[in-house]
Amino acid sequence: MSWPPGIAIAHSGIDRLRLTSVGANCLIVALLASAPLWVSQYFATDILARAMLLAILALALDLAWGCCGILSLGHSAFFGLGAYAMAIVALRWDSGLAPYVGFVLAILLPALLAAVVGWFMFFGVTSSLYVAIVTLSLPVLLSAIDLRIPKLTGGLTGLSGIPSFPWAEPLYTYYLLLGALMLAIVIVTWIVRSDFGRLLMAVRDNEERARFFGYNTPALRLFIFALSAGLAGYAGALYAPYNGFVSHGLLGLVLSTSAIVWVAIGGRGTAAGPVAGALLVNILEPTLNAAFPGFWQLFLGLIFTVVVLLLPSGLFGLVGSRRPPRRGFQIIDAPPGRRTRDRMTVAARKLNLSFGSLAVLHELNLEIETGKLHCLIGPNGAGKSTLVDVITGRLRASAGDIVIDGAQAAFLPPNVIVHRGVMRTFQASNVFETQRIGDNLFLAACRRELALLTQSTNQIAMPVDARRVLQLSGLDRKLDTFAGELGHGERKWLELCMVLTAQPAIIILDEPTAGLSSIDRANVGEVLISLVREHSLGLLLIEHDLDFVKSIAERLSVLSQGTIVADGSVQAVAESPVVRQIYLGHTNAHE
Amino acid sequence: MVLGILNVLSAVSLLFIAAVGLAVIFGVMGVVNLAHGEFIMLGAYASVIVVKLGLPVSVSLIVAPLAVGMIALLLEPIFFRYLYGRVMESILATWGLSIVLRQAAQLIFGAGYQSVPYPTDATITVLTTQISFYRVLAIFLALVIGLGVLWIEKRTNLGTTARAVMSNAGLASTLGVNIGRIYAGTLVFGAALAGLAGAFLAPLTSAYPSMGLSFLTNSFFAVLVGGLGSLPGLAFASGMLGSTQQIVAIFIDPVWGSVALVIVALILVRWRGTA
Amino acid sequence: MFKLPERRFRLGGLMLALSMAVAIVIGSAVPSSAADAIKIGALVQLSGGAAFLGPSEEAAYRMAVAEINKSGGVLGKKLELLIADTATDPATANAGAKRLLNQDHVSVLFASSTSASREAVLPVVRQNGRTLFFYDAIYEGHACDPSMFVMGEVPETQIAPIVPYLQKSMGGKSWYFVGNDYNWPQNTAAIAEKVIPEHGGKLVGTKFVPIGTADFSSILQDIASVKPNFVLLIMLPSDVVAFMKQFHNQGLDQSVTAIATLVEQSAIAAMGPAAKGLLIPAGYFADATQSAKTFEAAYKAELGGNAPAQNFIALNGYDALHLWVLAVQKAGSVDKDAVTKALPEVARDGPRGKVAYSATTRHATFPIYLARIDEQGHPTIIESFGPVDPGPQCKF
Repeated sequence: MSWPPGIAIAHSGIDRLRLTSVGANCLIVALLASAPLWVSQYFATDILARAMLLAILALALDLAWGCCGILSLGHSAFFGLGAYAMAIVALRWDSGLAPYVGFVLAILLPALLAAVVGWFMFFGVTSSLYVAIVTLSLPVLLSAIDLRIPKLTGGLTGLSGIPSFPWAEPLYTYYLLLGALMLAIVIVTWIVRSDFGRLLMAVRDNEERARFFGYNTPALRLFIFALSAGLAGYAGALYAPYNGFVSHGLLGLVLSTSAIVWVAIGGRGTAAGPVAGALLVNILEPTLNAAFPGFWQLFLGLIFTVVVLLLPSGLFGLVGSRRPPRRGFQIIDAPPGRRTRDRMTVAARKLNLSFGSLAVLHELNLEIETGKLHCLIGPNGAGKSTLVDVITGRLRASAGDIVIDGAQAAFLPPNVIVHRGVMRTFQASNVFETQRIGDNLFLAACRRELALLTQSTNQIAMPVDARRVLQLSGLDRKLDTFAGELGHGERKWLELCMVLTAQPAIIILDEPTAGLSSIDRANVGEVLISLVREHSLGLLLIEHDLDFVKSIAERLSVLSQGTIVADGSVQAVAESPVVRQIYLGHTNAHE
Repeated sequence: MVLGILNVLSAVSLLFIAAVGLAVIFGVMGVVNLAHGEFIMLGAYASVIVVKLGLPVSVSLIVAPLAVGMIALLLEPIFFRYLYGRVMESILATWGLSIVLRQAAQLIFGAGYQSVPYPTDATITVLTTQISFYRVLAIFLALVIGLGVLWIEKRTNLGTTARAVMSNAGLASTLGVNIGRIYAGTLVFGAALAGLAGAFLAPLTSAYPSMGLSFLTNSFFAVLVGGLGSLPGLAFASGMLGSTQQIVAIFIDPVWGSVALVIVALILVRWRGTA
Repeated sequence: MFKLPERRFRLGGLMLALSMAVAIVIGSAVPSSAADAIKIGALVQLSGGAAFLGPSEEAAYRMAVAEINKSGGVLGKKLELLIADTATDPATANAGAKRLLNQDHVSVLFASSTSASREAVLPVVRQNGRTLFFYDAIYEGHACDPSMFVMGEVPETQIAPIVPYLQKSMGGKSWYFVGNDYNWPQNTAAIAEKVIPEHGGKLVGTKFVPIGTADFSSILQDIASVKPNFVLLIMLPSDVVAFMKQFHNQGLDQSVTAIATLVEQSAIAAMGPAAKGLLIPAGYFADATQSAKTFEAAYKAELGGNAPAQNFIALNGYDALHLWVLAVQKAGSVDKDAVTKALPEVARDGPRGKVAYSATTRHATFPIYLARIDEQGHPTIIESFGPVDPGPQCKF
């Protein structure tokens, strides 16, 4: 999903507010740590402690929602599952190990459930609505099942008498819970500030583009969803002994809804917003709920609706308004030998694709090789972009083969095809608009997702050809600019740079010169020629401009009405009667 | 046996009636209305008010759609207008709306159940057992609504315009179609359908503030399985999901019935999605 | 989508933060109260699913406190009643209990709430260790805790007396059971499974439905085919209402007698004509006895004509508070152990007859009445069973 440039800054979330976020968290922790000095013991141990546990739940939800774009409407199901797991093990198993085993189970079981549900939600054709509804039904189902096995779960009455922590002083519990919250904050901040966090945000804002750069986005989302479920279970595991009881409501929709409200009000996508929102609401709630029963919930609902519509970054978004800190990107040479293949071919054989009764591709045969500058032309609606979609895995053909470097590739997902060495650009140039240019290039260069968890770098490894294009386009002086702010031509350059950074063997360019000025067009032409001659890239250009094609192509194919009607050298094809018929409407040699 | 079949059919019909308003709004405008359940709830409370005023309860079948449609009309310029086509925002904002409506209903009407009398207490005898006439009426109402909406969609100018807006709003507007009015009209229509569903369901379930939630997930699953903007698809989905739930409820347990509905819905959506 | 000027929002945000800070300060402050009063804490259900009971529950405690203060208070001091809302939610009940016990330092805690809320309150009571806890509500039975005394109908007192009576007076021996799917109905079903065969009856069907079930068609189908004489409805009032309407609609109430154990005035009114013939076994009805009628008159006089109607569910609190006061007066102090010893030794003749706590079970014994709802929706007593012993609920 792309954002219009004006809103890009407001939605870059963690990047922009990073320093303020860490600072805010430090402030919050300091306030909480010193709280017992200036509030009553009851307030600290009964209200603040509970608020801290719920703040962990809010953090977990935000990890999935704010950072990765998974709107989990039923996250309390994981929290409740963790609490119940801890409670059941602690109550039924008479052993010193019980609390520890319960703790581990409380984290693993929700993560497992999330993984299973995530497999349904993220793989295959998915949408944020589907995710919302499936996650919405989780608490409903778990609540119903909870009532069905009352011998284990206590049913509606819940389980009470859960052994508490092994000390009598309530302040020790308070500081334990504060420590737990700090650990959760550290984990989430670590993830978000690492390069993995950059990847997550790119996936959140433009999943398709990330997929076409080789990232296994469904697996990524599953990983984060399971992680956030485990974190929620961790909060539940502490909630059970703190409270002494677990009840049916922990698994329900009311708590899930509240968690969404806290995160939205606090500010999603930041590591401090959810904590602040959860703490604030849960501190105010006992007082205001007692004073204005019924009205407090209504008020909260109104604030939530207003915030969601007008203040998407929540309260925290009001706080951080400084210019985002610059990262100070540094371009380094890519390690040699990373190019996936030196010589390979992509062949489409007898491709057929129909949408209902409309046959878009019909018995189509086409071959793309490395070291060749191949152009594909054809009238509008002939099916050129569709062909590219089929080759790169975005669409599935109804019949026919795609062979990449000798291996079958017809049913592979886009990210696997990228790993085979085939990349593409989009007709409307598709970049990560909410990220800076440097981040865009960084993400294009990287492949191994989990390794990103351990690093937070400002270096971008680019091969020689990509660096040349970067310098040529002038973007090397604008690495800190947000991609959403670029003009049309610069975006095309950026996309080309990104694709080159990924070091594929074959690139399919979908109308690379559309809308460019003639100077830019000439530059692009030179660049493309040199890419093929000097770096042995294979290029397939979808083009309209016949003059441009004539000036740079070595091989030309014509696609008309779903099939290749001409294929060969530029000279032969450009003057063939077929092309004249298509472009001029007649086959006369005269104008 | 016949009773069983009629029960299943009426359960399917009730699901269809509840979901059709949602399908219309989502199909034409791309607005995910998580407050749909609350629209149904408002329709049910309209029945409560009609009865309190001393009017016959069948009047509510006219008053409720009007009242809920009016509420939607009032909400359109201040709320729904910002959500057209934006799925994530509409999910969140309508979730907030549902919280507000639920709490408001609780404050105004109280948290307890308010009962609504049946418009008719008649029963019809099928073989040796009696079944409530009202439930059989549900089947007819579902057919009437389904065919009615389908007729509007396919045979009227309004329907064609709405479908045009659904597939390409920008293009439709350049052709002189007042998109805003189509959207507002569709919203009101969908809300009115939900209000009608609420009024019809009220005698069966009684009105209470959180009644919307139980209709929400089931309606959404029916819409998702049936496919966007497809009324026959919705009918098919209601059939599959409603009968699964009812059959499992009869043979095992109503709880496992609702679990079965969700699992079947998940499988069907996934299967449809990859096909 | 428009973008509003940020400065305005910054100001708004600042004001919001400021008001929140003020609220936090207010909330964390400890309220002061009269020094010379004994503080009573009571948890009632003022909001949430059971909100229709809350006003009556609160009024029951207030009535008791008013009566006691009028007659001179306890140990020379007046009683001060502090009410907290459970919101029919265990977490809120837990928070309310914490506030009453740890911030307000009440001398005794009463709760008219669900079992789930009771279980949420007990850990707080145990940790506090200094107060007694009185659970006052109809429930599933067998809840035991050294700090707790229970007053409320349990399945043993509602089901056991009526089975032989109904089988004899109305004829017929086959019973059907419909309950919500949680502890109270499940425990009741277990009791029914034991008691019914003991009296020569037969339980021909047991069905559990989720709370909030609106559609009983499959169950009614089964009842129509199995044809029992009696159907026990152990469900929340809302579900009983839905059941009774469909039951009546299908004409089954002509051949099957329905008995419900948890319905009060608003539920009966909600059933409309379907309520006719419904039987309710419970501890209190407004005109069950002369003392009930006297109480109702005094109640209206004290709290006004618009006071919430009392019912058997809410009245437990009234009797419990009175018994506690009697025990305190007997023990001469509010000390937990002294009062615990004195409690079983006191009894009171209240609106529903003689009420007393048992030393061994810590559960209360009180009379049970069987009422039938007539055409006007009014309960008329058809039998009274005297004080019914709840049996071995706990062992202390």
